[in-house]
Amino acid sequence: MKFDRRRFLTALGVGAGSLYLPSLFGRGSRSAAQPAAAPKRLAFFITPHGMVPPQWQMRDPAALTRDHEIDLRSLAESEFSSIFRPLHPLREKLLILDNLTMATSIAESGRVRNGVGHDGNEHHLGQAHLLTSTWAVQRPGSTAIGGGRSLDQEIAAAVAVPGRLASRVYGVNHQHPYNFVAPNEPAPRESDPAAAFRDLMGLLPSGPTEPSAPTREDRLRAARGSALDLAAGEFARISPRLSGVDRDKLERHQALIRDLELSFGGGPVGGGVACDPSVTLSGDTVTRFAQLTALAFSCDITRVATFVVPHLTNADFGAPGHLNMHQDIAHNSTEDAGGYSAEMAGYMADYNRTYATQFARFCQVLDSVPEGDGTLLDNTTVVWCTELSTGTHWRDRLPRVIAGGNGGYFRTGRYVYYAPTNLEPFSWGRPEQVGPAESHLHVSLMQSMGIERDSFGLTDIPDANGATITLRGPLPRLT
Amino acid sequence: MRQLAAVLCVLAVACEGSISEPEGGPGGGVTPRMCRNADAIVLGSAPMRRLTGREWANSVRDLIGVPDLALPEMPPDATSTSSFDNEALALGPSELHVRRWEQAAFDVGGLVASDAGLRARHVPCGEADADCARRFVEAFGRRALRRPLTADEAQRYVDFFEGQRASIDFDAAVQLTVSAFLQSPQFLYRLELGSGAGRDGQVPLTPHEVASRLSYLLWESMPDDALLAAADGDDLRTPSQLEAQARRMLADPRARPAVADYFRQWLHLDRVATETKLPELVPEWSAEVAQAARTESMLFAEHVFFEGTLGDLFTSRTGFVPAELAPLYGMSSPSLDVPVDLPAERAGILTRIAFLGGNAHEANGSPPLRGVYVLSRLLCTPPGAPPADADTSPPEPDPTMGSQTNRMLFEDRTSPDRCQTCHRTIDSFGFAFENYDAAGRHRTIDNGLPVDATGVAVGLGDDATPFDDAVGLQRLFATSDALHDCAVEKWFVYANGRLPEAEDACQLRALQDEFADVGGDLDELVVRMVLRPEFLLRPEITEAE
Repeated sequence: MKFDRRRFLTALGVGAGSLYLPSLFGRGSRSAAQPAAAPKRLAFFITPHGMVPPQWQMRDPAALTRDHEIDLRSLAESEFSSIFRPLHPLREKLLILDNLTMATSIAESGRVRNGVGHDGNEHHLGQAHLLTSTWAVQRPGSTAIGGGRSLDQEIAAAVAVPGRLASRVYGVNHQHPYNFVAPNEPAPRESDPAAAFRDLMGLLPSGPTEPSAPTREDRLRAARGSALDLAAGEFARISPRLSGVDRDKLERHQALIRDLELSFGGGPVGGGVACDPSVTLSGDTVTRFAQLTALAFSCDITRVATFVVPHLTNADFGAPGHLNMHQDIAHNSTEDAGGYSAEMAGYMADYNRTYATQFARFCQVLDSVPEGDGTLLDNTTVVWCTELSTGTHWRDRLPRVIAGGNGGYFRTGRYVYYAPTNLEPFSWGRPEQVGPAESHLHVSLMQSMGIERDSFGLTDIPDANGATITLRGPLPRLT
Repeated sequence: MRQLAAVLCVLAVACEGSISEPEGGPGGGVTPRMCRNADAIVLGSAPMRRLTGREWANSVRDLIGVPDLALPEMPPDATSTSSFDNEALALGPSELHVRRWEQAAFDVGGLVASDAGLRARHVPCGEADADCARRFVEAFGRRALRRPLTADEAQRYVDFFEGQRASIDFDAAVQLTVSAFLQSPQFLYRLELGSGAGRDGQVPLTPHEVASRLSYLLWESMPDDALLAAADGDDLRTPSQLEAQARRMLADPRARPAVADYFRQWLHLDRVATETKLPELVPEWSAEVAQAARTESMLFAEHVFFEGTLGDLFTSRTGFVPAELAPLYGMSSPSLDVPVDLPAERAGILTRIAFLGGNAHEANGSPPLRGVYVLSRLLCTPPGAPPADADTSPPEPDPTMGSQTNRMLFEDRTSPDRCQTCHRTIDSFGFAFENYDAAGRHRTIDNGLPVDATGVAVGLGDDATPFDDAVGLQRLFATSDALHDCAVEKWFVYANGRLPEAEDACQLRALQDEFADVGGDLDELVVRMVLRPEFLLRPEITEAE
């Protein structure tokens, strides 16, 4: 699937030769090809460190051995779990998933224990697998880094509008990247909202323009595509002389250039009923990136985004300044930890709840943009995920929240519990019954974006007895 | 308690113990290697190198000749704190890069076309002159692509230029042609295709490819005119030619920031810049102080590189102390431009604020962080991944135990056998820095008790060697073969843009021996790397690669 975008372009009949008929009057006018239905979008909202299970879970403790669900719409605010309480206003648009497992990451821990690979650190493996679901790049003397194209990039490549942005990665670095364009090749991440805004500006519609004779500026702009065409030709000449990943990089580069050419051909400017290019950014970092994402989505500049949420300071969630978030609080927040205390679990829950507030705000910014009969959020799937399930490095019982639902694709307003199904060699070696693999959710997300695939990343892993756990197929009970 | 029992088993077989952050140090360094035939030339891989953000910006500025040219910021290149920015595997194209490169290329082209001085410098002829397009393309292209254009290649750019001139105007043609050059694969990547047929799977680089190897290693930028001229004349072939160029380039001002940037990465000097300290304990700490600490260590390392030896990096008291740092060093007056001797309790990079304050908690120093740093970045022996349940918080004093030093608290914390598997080594280094607090301020009393910074260094040589404190420990480092070998390995990784491979065994061994022969002279090491036969070769490109 290396050249899906280019193939798409070719299918549209916009090969290199036809790109620069300077459609100088097109810029600024809305494309007639604007689809009637709102496009589907996908955003990942990633916070670090996991959560405190008893304080986010809302499962029925008497029904742990069977699948069950709870109607969120009928719950009062006080009936929401302590960590998810800030999400209550969004309850009709939520799908909370209880008991998924980062199965591939746990399986890699088993491989490292058996001498395959070098880095068994659960943070690193969680970060490497969260969006790739495949074996990390493991090298002696280096830490484990994502070993394949991440889900957001894979989906983006398939659904991108030619000439616009396939995806964006915003926010901070938690430790290692989550988003990858290729093995060990992180997708660049923009941490500065102003710079991120500049990246969108050239693609925003500039309002209706009267047809007039093209100015020199117009012609110069159109000719930028020609300079790209020349460069693309140089890439095409050189890449066959290389091999392996080097050639792959140059071929990808050439495809990206071909795509960018469209930006100067008159057709790529975003639009859409809800697009308001006059928006200015304000508020804290989370709000600004929410506004950026809303802008990019509503103007159909991109359809896939990731926001890696900034770290909190202790003051943000009311913990004393002398405590170290990672070492004092997170590591002592579940009862199996050597230094467990209810106080630390409490701070950890406060930390998680603060992120829940931020997630709610992120979603509410999208929800405040009307689109069609509903809102931008209704036509978007926002997935809140963490690289671990707890501050003590579990990777089963993952907390996962979906907001939006992609135009009704996902049935929201529900809390869905999955009974344990797989016997996995748990992180620390002991077999354990765990819930379904998150890989299935990845398949569901791809299918929700219109991509008919039945697997993403690894297709199967061994279970604790050497039998096979299949990772194919979507996650049941979502749609 | 389901996980705890299992952890104990794991720890029994593997040394795991580093804390919170992976501190592999750029380049790692645990590939088992053995040199079987020192005379054979064996090549490791030579991955294509995309320019890093810094190399790209330097190259654009040098190409245009505007040192302070404003350029868009590129996202960070390093995958983690344990990799160098220029790791080839992690550097590729992306949508974001391609778009920002395009915008910058277009803007720079506009500048060249419109600024009279730049126009005169880069366009050696006027609109009315016959063949002006070709003259411009050949002159500018040779510098942009870091080699003369082939005839076909020049023709493509000339045709493009004339096309744009016809459809828009001459200025537009200049602007767009510059833009196209800046987006070509030959500008954005270091393509080493080699010259002619290979022998035994090895291909000689072209002189211009060698020139780029030199300039990006020594300057993080493109070759200058003298280097390009040498390449044109095939004068980068013999050891004396290469040595002369390397020494000329090391003496050029461009080498200094590049060298400082190398040390920034190797020694993770960025780490201190984001550290915070408890204000009630360290009122003088601020973001500016942290930034100044980073700069100070970079300046010191740069100074040592050009004026001294690796040993000096661990023993010298020379400092470049800005006003922000003077109080932490207990100095009454700063001296930024003129090097001064730091107080006697400071000698070597590991008694500077950047290391001490960067590898510490908010309220006190962290012996494990400092010890892991030594093992992974200086000795190339990073400890394994940390066990998930390790209590890595700063230990709190137990009021019933009476007064305790930071060291006593940590000794108590890591006393169980399962911790000692790793902490015996980690802490033997880490405790050496107990004379310096969370911010790197010197102390002889900790919590009312005398500081004990003594220890026994293991892994530096055959014997375990006792030392009194950090100054004493660094004196051992200054003559340690293990540390010198590791320093060579780090430079090697940086120079090659990749981790060491089995094929590098003999080259690495040879460089390590040469480094020892020259007494740990750092700029001499870089010259020796350039003089290796491998510097002029790459492995043949095969489909199976």
